[in-house]
Amino acid sequence: MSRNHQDSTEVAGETSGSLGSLPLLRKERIWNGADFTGVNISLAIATWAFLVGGSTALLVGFQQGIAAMIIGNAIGLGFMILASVVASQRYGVEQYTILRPVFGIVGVGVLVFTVILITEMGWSSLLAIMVGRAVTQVSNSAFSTDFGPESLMVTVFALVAIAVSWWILSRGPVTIGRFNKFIAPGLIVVTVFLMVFLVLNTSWDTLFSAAPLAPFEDDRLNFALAVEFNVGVGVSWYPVMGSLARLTKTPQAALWPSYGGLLGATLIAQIVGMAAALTLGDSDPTVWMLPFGGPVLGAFILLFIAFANITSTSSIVYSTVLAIRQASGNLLSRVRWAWLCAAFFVLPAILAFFPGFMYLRFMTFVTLSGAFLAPMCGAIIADYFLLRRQRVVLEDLYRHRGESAYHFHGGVNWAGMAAVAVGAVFYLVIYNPVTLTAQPIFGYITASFPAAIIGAVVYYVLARVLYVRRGVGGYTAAPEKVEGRA
Amino acid sequence: MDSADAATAAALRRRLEEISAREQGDASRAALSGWDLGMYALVTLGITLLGFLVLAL
Repeated sequence: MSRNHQDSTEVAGETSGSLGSLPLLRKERIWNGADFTGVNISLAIATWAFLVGGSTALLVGFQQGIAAMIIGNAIGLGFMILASVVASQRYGVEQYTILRPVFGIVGVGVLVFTVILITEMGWSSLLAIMVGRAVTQVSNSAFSTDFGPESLMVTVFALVAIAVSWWILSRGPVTIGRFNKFIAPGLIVVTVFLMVFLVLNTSWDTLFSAAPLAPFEDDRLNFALAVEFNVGVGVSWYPVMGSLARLTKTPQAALWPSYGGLLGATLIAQIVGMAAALTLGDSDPTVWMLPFGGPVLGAFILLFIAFANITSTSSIVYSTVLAIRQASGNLLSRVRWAWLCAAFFVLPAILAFFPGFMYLRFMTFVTLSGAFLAPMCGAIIADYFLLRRQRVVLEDLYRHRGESAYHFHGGVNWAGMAAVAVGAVFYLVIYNPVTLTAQPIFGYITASFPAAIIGAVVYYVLARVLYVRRGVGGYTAAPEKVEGRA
Repeated sequence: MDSADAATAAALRRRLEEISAREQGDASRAALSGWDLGMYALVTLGITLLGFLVLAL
């Protein structure tokens, strides 16, 4: 890097970034493949996997459900990991900073404040409501209260869960890590417990013959919806994966453990969840534990799940709030971390007043966020692998405005934004998760994967027309060196 | 904890210099090879086909 380049390099505001936004050095990359596999298993074994398994059982039976989970997660994780993990690992850069060549610095801000923020707020509120339901179940069992799944007490405990999540989050990643050290093994024990109970109390014949809980009339549509839902679940890991992968030591240590770890642990927990739902006829994991474990053990497991949800919420919200701060430029750089975290939880707290709605619309919310995340991933893959050939000028990621090759026009890469918009419109035309209307072709090709391909094609064509031919956007082959300009 | 440790331009410059001087060609900064990408695509395809096999059985 030349001295002139050094002099012109500036972070966008002296205090706007965090140390976390800077490229990591070799000595700071602490995870080998085995470490990162453990991290991914810990993430995937969280309680939302039970919820996804239970929700899949609404549409399809056991055999179709396993198939839908394998197909959906294999595809969703397949392109999500290429989009989120690879570039962040190579350059050691936080995942929303490495997005600047694809969407521009302003474009990244727009996506973070819409798609990413809404996705993570939805998951947070859902996990909080699950805490509320778990605690009220314990109360009903231990104190003979009669709190329903949509009662005000569910909301009250959900709000308490949000408050505790905020407290853990405001203490920072070290506190989150301390809690997760025993939460992840504990959830593995819960999963094994559910498996043992299912083996002891049900038979393969019963499981394979169990009817789905609330299917539509069209079997093909049910299976396509189950696959699409699971693709959406796989893609919904996007907001957290890149920022974790940059801590790995080699590209292989990032790629295979993220795919194998997330896929393996997710499938096990989801299949167990689906089997439990089909056995008990209820998709809500908080309903399973008392019949399975009895009043004492069941209550203990429910309280553990409640606490696990709180730490899971803290984990996923941490990276999102960090992204919000970085994407906002100078706007939020001086706002205290605790206040920023509190602001994040405002909408989840409001949603906690509608527990029935959130549970009912869980599948809608996951697939709707997939409608935007999938074409985002497609655009990122087309940019990084096809147009840039895995080469990004590290220095330009941090340069001010027009000094950066990735500033484009007004800080927006319009090819990236158009790719997301066109891909999302395509998705919503062939399957609308809100109205539940689907075109016949949805039964054959589903929606997320084709939306990702459309996002990639639109990005590739528009970027070539708008930028590559004009020499804008730093697409011309950069040297293999990671920091220098071409 | 303060998540917003001030990241100065100087800190960034120091890192870029160190990467330039000591980490060029380091395994941690290697691009994903064609072989890895090909294998990844094949494994993804294989697991997807496994799902269809489960459906067909």
